[in-house]
Amino acid sequence: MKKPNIVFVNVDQMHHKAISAYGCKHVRTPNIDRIVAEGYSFMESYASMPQCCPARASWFTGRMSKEHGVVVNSYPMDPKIPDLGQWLRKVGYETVYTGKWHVSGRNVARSFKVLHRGSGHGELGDSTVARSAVAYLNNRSSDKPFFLGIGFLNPHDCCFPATADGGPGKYAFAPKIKDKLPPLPANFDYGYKESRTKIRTWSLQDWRYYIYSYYRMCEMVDAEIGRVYDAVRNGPHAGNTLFILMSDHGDGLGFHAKVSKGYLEEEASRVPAVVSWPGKVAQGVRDTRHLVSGVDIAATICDYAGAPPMPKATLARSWRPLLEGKEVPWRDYVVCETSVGPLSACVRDLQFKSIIYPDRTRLYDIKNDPLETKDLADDPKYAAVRKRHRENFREYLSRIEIYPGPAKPLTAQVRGRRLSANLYKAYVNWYEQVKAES
Amino acid sequence: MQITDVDRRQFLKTGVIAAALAEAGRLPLLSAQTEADRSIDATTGPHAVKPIRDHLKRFSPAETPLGKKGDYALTYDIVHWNWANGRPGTFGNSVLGRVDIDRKVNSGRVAYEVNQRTRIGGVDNFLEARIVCADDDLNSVRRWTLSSYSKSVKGELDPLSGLREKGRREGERILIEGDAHNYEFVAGRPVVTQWTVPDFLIRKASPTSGVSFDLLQDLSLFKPNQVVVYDGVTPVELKGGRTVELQTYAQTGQGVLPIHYLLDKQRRPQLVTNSILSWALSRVSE
Repeated sequence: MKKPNIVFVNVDQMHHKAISAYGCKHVRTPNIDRIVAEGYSFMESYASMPQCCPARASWFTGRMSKEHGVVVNSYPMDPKIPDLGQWLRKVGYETVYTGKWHVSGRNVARSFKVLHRGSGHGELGDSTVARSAVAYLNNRSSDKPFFLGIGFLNPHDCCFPATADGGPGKYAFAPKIKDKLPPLPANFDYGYKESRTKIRTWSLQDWRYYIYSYYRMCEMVDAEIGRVYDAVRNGPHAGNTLFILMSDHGDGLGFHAKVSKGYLEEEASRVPAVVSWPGKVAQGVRDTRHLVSGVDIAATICDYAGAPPMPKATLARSWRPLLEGKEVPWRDYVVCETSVGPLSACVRDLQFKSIIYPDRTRLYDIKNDPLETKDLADDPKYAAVRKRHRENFREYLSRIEIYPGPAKPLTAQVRGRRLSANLYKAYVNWYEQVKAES
Repeated sequence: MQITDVDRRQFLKTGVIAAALAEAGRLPLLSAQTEADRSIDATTGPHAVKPIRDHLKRFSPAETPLGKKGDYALTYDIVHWNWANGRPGTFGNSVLGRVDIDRKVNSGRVAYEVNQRTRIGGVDNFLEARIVCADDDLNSVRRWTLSSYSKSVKGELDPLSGLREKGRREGERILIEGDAHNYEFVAGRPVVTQWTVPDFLIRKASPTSGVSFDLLQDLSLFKPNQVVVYDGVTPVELKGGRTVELQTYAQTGQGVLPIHYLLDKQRRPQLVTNSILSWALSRVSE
């Protein structure tokens, strides 16, 4: 059988609800809506870690952040771990990449043919990245199957107006479009009281303008995705191309009065994930029964490409049986880790979610309290859930191979940030303590 | 602050209109804002030029008059907003490209020739468009050709980067044919590009009436339901400390952050600001 082509479109910082097909009334994403209608949406989908580099390294290795070593942005990946580009080349794929890569310590050009490196700004680079992808799809002449990774920046541009002085954001324009500004999320006040972001000097109107701007950035990238999707579905590779769309992590978007990412609340850790291949993948499905993770991307792509699973990818599961409508045993929980702010990890099952820190745990009933407003951790009624999640976390730690850090201590400065080995030491110590619990 | 270049007649006219609108209850009363509405921009200057403030220190407005026949060529620097040294809290502007917009009118036919070049990620990216428009207020697009390609900084063409498309409007359908695939959109309004909006403002902009259209950005990205409305007068401090007041119009709609067009008293669109990218007029010629 002819191997399929694979197009993996990744977006940056898209909130899991910022898609009109999923019911958001404040954004219009007709192109993603079309992919959703023609494809299979995983509604219970999580980043392996809600920050750019760690999440991206997981996509391309099938390993969690504390395995591949990219524990926060700028920390380099373990050089011994192969990436998807190298892996697919071994089974005859032409591996191609355009746009945002951002896997620290791994040169994209060594694993992929690079079409365009894009820019750190979506408004500047995304159109050129889309154009490079469309041109490649139209102009390529090789008989080999291809893997094309496309990294769009937006809606990540929201990071620039989110700075203390508002960056390039035109916040004073807000009164002129007051009727168009979305309302604050229902859990805004809940978080506003406690959130560290209250140091932000934004007025409530500034917050609403930020949310308005964020949705426009989602619409910007939606148009670029549509351009690529048209080239895939209307072009010469239409019948034999698997199309995957996922975000590396979400954005605060005012939920819990937060912006940005790195934390484990739903707004940052939960992400959109859609797969389309008309005739081969079930269409119009909104799967709420299967928990999936960014760590599954490599496993899914290897499965379709006829490649063996990537080494030591002990947690990653291929989505293929689900996409083909097969009933298979599936994971009971998914773990999302972070090293931004206090070390923590969340364990999510189909109803509950624990956010576990070294010194405490928070517990939410996501099914009945999706906005995470009521911490149930101290409620004796939920002691069994809390205990089960702790066991899940221990089991998780027993299945991953924890990266102790590079042989030589990190001393380099990257982008003005001083890297230190302390972060490795901190999570290694914590994880070893948890594993040792009886 | 010294105002040296005010169109006082326009300013007074605008003031009278604003007073009339306010009396009719159609103008938001900004003084009625509450503390909750106070903007972060209060300390960062006029919002319409916020993304380009650093560039303004080096900016001299183009002075050549626009031709009366409607034939003209505008050249804009494409100006990039970025953190200075990658650090939040400080920012700078740099010029990373140029767009030439050449407009010709002949026997009721309006034609544009556009050449745009931007350097992104060490690569020069080119867009070249020929657009035939209707002779209506918006110069709405009728048919066009577009080619794009990339070159390395050394000038070597990337053979995989070339794209050629031709498009046309048929009723409500926008049909685009590429080398290897076709695609289309359905438009309910006049369709314009970012390169043709300035002409509408030059000829027809009015503080008292807005306009709506569908945007075909780069002749490839469909962004419907755009509105342009008047956004007041923006005082802009230029190179040498001189201040001009520019009539300002704002575009909002699907898939765009508010875009501001700032026109001088001769209605030349001197500045067009988005968020990360802006245009600054560097040359006018006939």
